[in-house]
Amino acid sequence: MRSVKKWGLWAILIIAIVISTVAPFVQVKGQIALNGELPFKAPLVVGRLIPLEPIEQKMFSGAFVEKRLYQVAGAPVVVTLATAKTNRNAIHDPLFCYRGAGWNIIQESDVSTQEGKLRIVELLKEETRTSIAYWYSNGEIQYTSPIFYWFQTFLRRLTLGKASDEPWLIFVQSVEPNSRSLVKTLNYFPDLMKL
Amino acid sequence: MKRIYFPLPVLISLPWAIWLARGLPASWQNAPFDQHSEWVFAFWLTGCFWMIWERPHFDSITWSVALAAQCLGVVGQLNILIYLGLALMLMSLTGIQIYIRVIWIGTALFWMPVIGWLFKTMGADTVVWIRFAGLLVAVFILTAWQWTQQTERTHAIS
Repeated sequence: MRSVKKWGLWAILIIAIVISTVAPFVQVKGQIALNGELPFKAPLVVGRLIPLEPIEQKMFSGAFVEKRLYQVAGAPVVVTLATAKTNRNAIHDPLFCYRGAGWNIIQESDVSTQEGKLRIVELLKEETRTSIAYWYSNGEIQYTSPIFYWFQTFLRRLTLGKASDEPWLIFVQSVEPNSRSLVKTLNYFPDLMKL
Repeated sequence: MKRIYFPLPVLISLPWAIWLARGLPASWQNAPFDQHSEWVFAFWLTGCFWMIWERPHFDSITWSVALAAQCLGVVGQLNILIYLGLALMLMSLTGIQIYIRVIWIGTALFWMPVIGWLFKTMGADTVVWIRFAGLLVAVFILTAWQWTQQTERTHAIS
């Protein structure tokens, strides 16, 4: 009986080590190619790729990230599209990061869209004011809850991609904070709102 | 004091569990909401080793659950399960009262990044105080437990 237990422990340990060693190398299906869906040019919209800051490169290590600078009806906005590749933990809760960097949230509200909702947040740090919009999307629904994002990505990895496609974090920051309401600007860019 | 020898797979699993939680130090160093968590962790770990030293006992079910939690954490890339697995694994090596083990696993949350996320609206400085409040709870539990132990011993002698 004792020997059975001993071998049982060995079996459990070996299975656990094999699973946790192999898992990070398993390619999970359902990675969506979002960059094709968001044009660089549209009516009243023109954009270009911009490089990531070194801190962003470090932060998004293990994720696919694209940063674009758009002029939307004359207002400059930075759009960051990020999705986890090998490291799901590279995709953070934007509000957690901003709070950690010393920004104070003045106002936050959710805006309903056809596919779900996105969050608009006004931030203040010392004398600097800015506004951001963000949402997660797996191509079917748009949502703002990081808990739901963790749950969806967790389930997706456990089912080897069968549960859903890999969600993206879409993050928009206005460059000129007081120029115009970010919601108004986003309305000029329906392709972005559809992501 | 009764000494027990833990099975070899268990002794191997412990460094493995620590290896899986290797992201923690970087988080403590870089994340503003995780400042000083290493002190909470160091104290929590000392408490674990103390309990193991005082009442060594191997609980194969808790150990298996710990490994399962860590596997799920690695496959699903959910760090909290990896950290919880580590806490469970350490608690599988002691035979102290179940309620103390449960509370001790609960206090493990105070060195995990999740506390920073949960209390993010309060600001990074307040989160440090919350972590140390958790540490105080842990100190209280250990003291109460030690007191119970001493009382038991005194009764046994008399």
